[in-house]
Amino acid sequence: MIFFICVLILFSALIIGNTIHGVQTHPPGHWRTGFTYGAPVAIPIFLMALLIPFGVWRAEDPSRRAYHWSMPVARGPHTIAKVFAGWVWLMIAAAVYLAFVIALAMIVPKITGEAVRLGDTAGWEWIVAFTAPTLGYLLTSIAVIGSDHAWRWIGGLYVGYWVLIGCLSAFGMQDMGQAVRTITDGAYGLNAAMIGSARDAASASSGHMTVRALSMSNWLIAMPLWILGSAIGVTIASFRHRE
Amino acid sequence: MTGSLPTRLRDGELAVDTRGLTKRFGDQVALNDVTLQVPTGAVYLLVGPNGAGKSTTLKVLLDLVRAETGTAEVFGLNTRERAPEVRANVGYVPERPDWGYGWMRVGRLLEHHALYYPTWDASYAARLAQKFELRTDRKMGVLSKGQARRVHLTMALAHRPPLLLLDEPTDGLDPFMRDETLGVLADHLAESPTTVVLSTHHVEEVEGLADHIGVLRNGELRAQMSRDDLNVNLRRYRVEVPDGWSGVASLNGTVLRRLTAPREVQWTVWGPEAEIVQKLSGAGGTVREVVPLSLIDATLALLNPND
Repeated sequence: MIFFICVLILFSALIIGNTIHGVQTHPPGHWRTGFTYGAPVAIPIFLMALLIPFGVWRAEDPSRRAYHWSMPVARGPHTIAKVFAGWVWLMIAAAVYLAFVIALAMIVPKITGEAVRLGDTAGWEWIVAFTAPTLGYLLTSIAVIGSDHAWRWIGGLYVGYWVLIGCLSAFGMQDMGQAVRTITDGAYGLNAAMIGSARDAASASSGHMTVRALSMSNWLIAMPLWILGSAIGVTIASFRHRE
Repeated sequence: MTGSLPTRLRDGELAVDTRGLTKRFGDQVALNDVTLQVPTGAVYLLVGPNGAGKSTTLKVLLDLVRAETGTAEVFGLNTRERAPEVRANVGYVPERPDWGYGWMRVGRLLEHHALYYPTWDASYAARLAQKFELRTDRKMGVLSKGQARRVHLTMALAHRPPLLLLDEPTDGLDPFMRDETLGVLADHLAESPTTVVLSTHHVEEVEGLADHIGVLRNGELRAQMSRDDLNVNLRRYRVEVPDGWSGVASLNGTVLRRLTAPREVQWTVWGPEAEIVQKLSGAGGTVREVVPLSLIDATLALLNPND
């Protein structure tokens, strides 16, 4: 936690320092950052959440059968309880991250003379700061709990996914490639579940994928679907180690 | 040759009863048809060279490792089907020193551990912590092997379990703390009715504690017996023999060791003393001395049988 806060402080210092430098080296009124909070700002905490399960299960992964597994309780519920405990800490981290971003979004415009734009942020985008890391955390937890080789699974799936799309494209099967790509970029794909963004299907067919504006309606459907699916995955992985 | 060494105990109430446990890790056979029988209330010493299968056997009892074939019961509870109940009745000291949460302070880990065991005796835990000179403000991850071992012993003993599984419990301890630990263990056994399965390379340390012994080698349980059986049946015979003596064919299968000097042979033999003396005498030898073996000598003889 201390390390996390130190990183945030360093990150904030860099942004503020860069803003001050920009203001000093540009004519007055010409340096603008437009910095505020929005759903895409949740991406760093999502990425961090992907790594958290490795910390939660450090030296306790199933293959080691260490302390956690020797406790006098049923392993499935015990594993889920540990996942939940890790999630609670993650939510605290997400709240701290959000507080830092809000503070930055109020400090930076004061330096540049811009108006504070936090009021422009849609209500659902504030929730993304918590749902995006939840999704990342659950996705990685499935691999960490369910497999003895989580890194191989995660890396393999990631590389395999892009290699598959690349191969389909190379062999002239763009349509199939686009169909596969909906897993991440479709209307209800991972990006939509994470921050509500999706690629424009119409432009995709022309070969030029462009990011569509953030969509609450996409997010509202994709997010619960992905989180529910991930939670089911975690439950199955946890009960894989039942007595 | 150890064909006639006992691998089953006589009837009695068993705290641990395994039948035909077999476990492989890849090509390596960790356990091969192991039938371990630990009587209730016994201090059972499990000996064997590194890689013999001692730790794996203990892990099977906690369902940390699952045998491919065979069954294991602790106090009549199947270790696979009723694992939480089994683990609630067991105090475990693992071989690995990094057991527990490295980021947690010792005091916090003990509190955390206590929550899992309704029988946790806080005052006893405090006494043990004092005896073991635990520094409760230190993080587990920075402890030496010996310090971690003392924390593990406290965790294992403080809920007064009816079964203790101790895997190299004195490993990494200095001589003073080793002595202190064995004293604590002896006091614990005197205060609380406990069955102990103890795996250690320091056999001489537990000479006064162990009342049963099991010998594992290459995943096979070569022998198990009570100390009484061991004391009665395993003896060293010093025999004066005539020139050109051809030996005693009828002792085949019972001789564990034979040391030969000019006109004298020392036999370490398993079997009834009177019968063996008779056979040796009948074959022309003169039995000069018959001595029982210390636990360490007996262990060496059982582990390294050769004739």
